Amino acid sequence: MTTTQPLRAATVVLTAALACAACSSSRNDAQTQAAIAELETAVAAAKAEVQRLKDIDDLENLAGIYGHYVDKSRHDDVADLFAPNGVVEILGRGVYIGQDRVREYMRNLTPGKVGPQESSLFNHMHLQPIIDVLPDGKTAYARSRLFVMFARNDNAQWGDGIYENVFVKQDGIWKLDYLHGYQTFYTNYEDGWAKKASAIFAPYARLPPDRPQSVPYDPYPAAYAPPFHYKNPVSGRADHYADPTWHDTLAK
Amino acid sequence: MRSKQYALLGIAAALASFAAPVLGQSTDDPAARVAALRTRLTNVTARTTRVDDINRIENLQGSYGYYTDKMLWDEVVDLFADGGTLEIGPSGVYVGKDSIRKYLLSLSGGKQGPLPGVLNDHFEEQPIVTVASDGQSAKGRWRLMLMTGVSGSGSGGNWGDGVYENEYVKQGGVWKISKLHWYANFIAPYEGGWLNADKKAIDDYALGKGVTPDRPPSESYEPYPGVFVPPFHYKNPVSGQ
Repeated sequence: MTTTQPLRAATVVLTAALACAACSSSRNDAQTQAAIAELETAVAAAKAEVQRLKDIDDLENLAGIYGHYVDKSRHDDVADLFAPNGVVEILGRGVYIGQDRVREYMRNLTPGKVGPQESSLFNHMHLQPIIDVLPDGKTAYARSRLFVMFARNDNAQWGDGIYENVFVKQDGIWKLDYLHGYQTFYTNYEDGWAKKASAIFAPYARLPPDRPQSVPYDPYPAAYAPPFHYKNPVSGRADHYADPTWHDTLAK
Repeated sequence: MRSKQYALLGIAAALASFAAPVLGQSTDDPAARVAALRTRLTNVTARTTRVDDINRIENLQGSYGYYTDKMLWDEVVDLFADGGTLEIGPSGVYVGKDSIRKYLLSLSGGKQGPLPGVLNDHFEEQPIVTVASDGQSAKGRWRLMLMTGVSGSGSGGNWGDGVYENEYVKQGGVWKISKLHWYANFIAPYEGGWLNADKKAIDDYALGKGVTPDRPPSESYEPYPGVFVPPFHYKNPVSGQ
């Protein structure tokens, strides 16, 4: 046995120990790196979900803000809520395409005047919103209920309808892309809806639309269900009301 | 006395020796920091799930209203869990989807879908949704405003008002109605409004036509102009009482 033998032996042991430590350390590093990568993915998913929830709140506010502005005939504020290519279609008035045309449509509601007028009531309550943001986070659909209290001088009316609106997010801001208001009924306060309800509101002769109404229908007392943008939230059944035979298929 | 002091010293020492490596890991050990972050993220996703649950339950009850507007009974029935119950004012309790379907169809002469001349608008408003701590069930108080009517009946229609105290269950990740209970407040003719509220109008609206409920009404109460407060599922959110 030489004097170097114990040293060699010690070196082997030490090297093995170091190697083992390095091996263990790198294994831990790899595990930690994998866990961090997994966390990054999960954090990104959580951020996307928080954004979606925030979008739903923002959209609910946007729909409500539209109603508050319309109440007070703030036509330019209303038009400003639309995207440049935004579209408005209300009752049977027809389709107005582009923000400039939306502005003309809104201003036409009280020609030559902006803002609330004496002896006028134009309350537009937006209720019962069902909002769905598409996976791209840039498009959203909302169904909501419109309840109107209208007055002009000595004529008072109730109004009732359904919105199926489309929203678009541009530069981080949600805007109205297609506002579509379906007429359920308008009735004079003295009468009530079951006694007398208006026919579908016709296009304005003084401001013809760019297109006639997209879905012809007769309001109450006729039978009509505005199409749903969403599937049944439990069964997942898709909207079948585009199919004119749906009534027969359901009866089976 | 001394022995007790030693015992306390022992616990303190044990806590110190337990705490020391934990504190060390929380600042230095990457694996411990990853584990701590994972816990925090789990807490965050539990909260987003809760907010999403509330949104989905609001959509569920809102859909109930929109489908009921148009008497789309197949769609309404699909919103219920198996064994779910429905009770509308004095209707009695209908248990399970088959019973609920028969009851709903009886309200519209066996037909479904919008009918000419019939208005059946159900405004589902003012939700207070409370999700249970396990995230698998929930309760919701809602206000219902009704506008109904039959064109040509001679009346302008009916106003209606009442409160729901409903229950929901999450099954397979999907929220469903497990208990729908509407407390009638009033139904009144358009002419004269709620000063002409009439219990018979509630019966006309709520009682099944030629069908029998599975159970009698769960509660007895006097609607407006009587006095009744539908029980609240929640405590006062500020006082906790």
